Amino acid sequence: MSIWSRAGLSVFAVLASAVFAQDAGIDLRSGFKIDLAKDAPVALVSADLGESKATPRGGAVTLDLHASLRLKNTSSKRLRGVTLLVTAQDVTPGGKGSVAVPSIDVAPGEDFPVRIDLRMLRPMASGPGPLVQVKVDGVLFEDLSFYGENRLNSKRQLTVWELEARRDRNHFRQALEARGNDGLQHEILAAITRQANRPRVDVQVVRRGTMPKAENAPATNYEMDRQVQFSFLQMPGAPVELMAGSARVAGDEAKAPQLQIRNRDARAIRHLEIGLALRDAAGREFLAGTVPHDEILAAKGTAQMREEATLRVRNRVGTPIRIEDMAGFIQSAEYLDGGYWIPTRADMADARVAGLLPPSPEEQRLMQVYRKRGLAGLAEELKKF
Amino acid sequence: MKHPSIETLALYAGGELSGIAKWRQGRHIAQCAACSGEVEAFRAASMELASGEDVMPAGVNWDRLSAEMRANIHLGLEASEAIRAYEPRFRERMQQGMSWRVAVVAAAFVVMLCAGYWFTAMKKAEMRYAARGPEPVVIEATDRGVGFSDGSRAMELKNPDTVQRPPVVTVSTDGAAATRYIDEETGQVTVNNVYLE
Repeated sequence: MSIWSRAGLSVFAVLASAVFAQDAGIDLRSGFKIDLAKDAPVALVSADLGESKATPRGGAVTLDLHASLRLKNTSSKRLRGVTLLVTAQDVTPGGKGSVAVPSIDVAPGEDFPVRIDLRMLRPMASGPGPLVQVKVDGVLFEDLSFYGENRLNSKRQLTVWELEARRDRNHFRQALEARGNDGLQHEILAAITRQANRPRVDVQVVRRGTMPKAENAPATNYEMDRQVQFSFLQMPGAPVELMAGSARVAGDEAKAPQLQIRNRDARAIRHLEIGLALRDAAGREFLAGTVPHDEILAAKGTAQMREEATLRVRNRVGTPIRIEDMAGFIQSAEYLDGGYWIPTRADMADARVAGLLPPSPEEQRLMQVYRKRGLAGLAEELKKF
Repeated sequence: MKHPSIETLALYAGGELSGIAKWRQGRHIAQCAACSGEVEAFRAASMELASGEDVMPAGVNWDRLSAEMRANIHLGLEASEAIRAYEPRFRERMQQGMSWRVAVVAAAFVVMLCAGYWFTAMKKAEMRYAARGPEPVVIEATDRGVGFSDGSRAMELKNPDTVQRPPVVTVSTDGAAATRYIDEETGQVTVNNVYLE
């Protein structure tokens, strides 16, 4: 069952007797606050709330907010990425959202769109203050300098995306220079094919506790946990080696992954993202999630990672995917000295790695440029940078 | 794909469904390994029960059971004799009308019984809730967007309906989920994220 229908059904069950048509009495326009600091490098040009609405459901209310914002670059440098923090009053404590626009190239004085489509289920009665608040969490400039509170680690995420963007533009540009239009077309079509071949799955995670039963799971379908050892995808340039790993697997759930890692580099690592790939009974392999490591990993040091989380994977139509095998690989690393490691295009030459790694935001954007403007449009786009 | 209820599967396994319902469930079960497994399990259990029907339960002392049953029958007969002796006096009292004192005592007894039942039910519900604890927060990433819910409150950042290309979907074991889509109009990439602290 999707989390939305779970929440909806739960509130509906509790308040079924009170389901009458009533006025939600919520002013969405005054309840939506965009709070940009005076020194922020972006300013609000316009905010359109379009078809936003509040629908009462007994003692609860569903808010559908469709905001189209236009933000202007008020700094003197080109922008490469922006992350907006979205907080909603009276929603699950400790939860928040963000909307990020990576792979942009906005000159000083230019503006750009940001779209926020938010849906909330919350009690009808609410405290004082705005229902939804939007703030800038981070802005990345072309020289990789950063502005923002960075409450969501936006600096790291925007920087990784920008490094991936440079890597991928470089790759396509080299293909164009070395092999002409045919070479560029070959590379972009390979990227489009990889994207099309990626299995499409829905993923759920519970950080602690038991995953609630899925909506359409048979009542007596219990499976015993079995311990599954990880295999590892080696990338020659990766700074960290995965030495051992396992998780408990039952049906479509993988629980409590454990990993042993070793830093091969002479530099200490501050943050590490390990990709978790699952293989189903049909032999399809796909990236299900990431396991982050947020403790300092000393140069040449080792560490043991233990998570309590449970992952569940389902097909788009909601049917469970039976997990057979698991594999891990290093997706990115941030060094203590502020440097970063991301897989190189040489690492991605391995077909299995290329199939598992998601396309970078820039590769997604360039594929769309090719679809809309053709090969000439793509070549022109690459010359801009 | 919506699965039939467990009751429907049990009826199907026992051949209790009729006409169209039987045909419809049969089609689903033929294609669904999980439901087919349930039906097989029901059939196996049913056969097992049938084969064990005429076997006497082990460890039963039939002589003792027979003696107890005879004693109970005698007791019942004696009680009915005693009531028959009291009946004329009781009928006489009933014909005179029931005393208001008896009515008050009976009403008070019923109220006490209801209150006791209600308090016990409330207490049990509280204990069940305390034992279960709060619902875990589920974080989800799908083609439609990302969100989290604790069962009664929810927040979701949705991808627009106009998105045509499959978004990139991922979750993190530290309680985060992300979905990344291309806006068809602007060609701009947008990443929706949710996080738990």
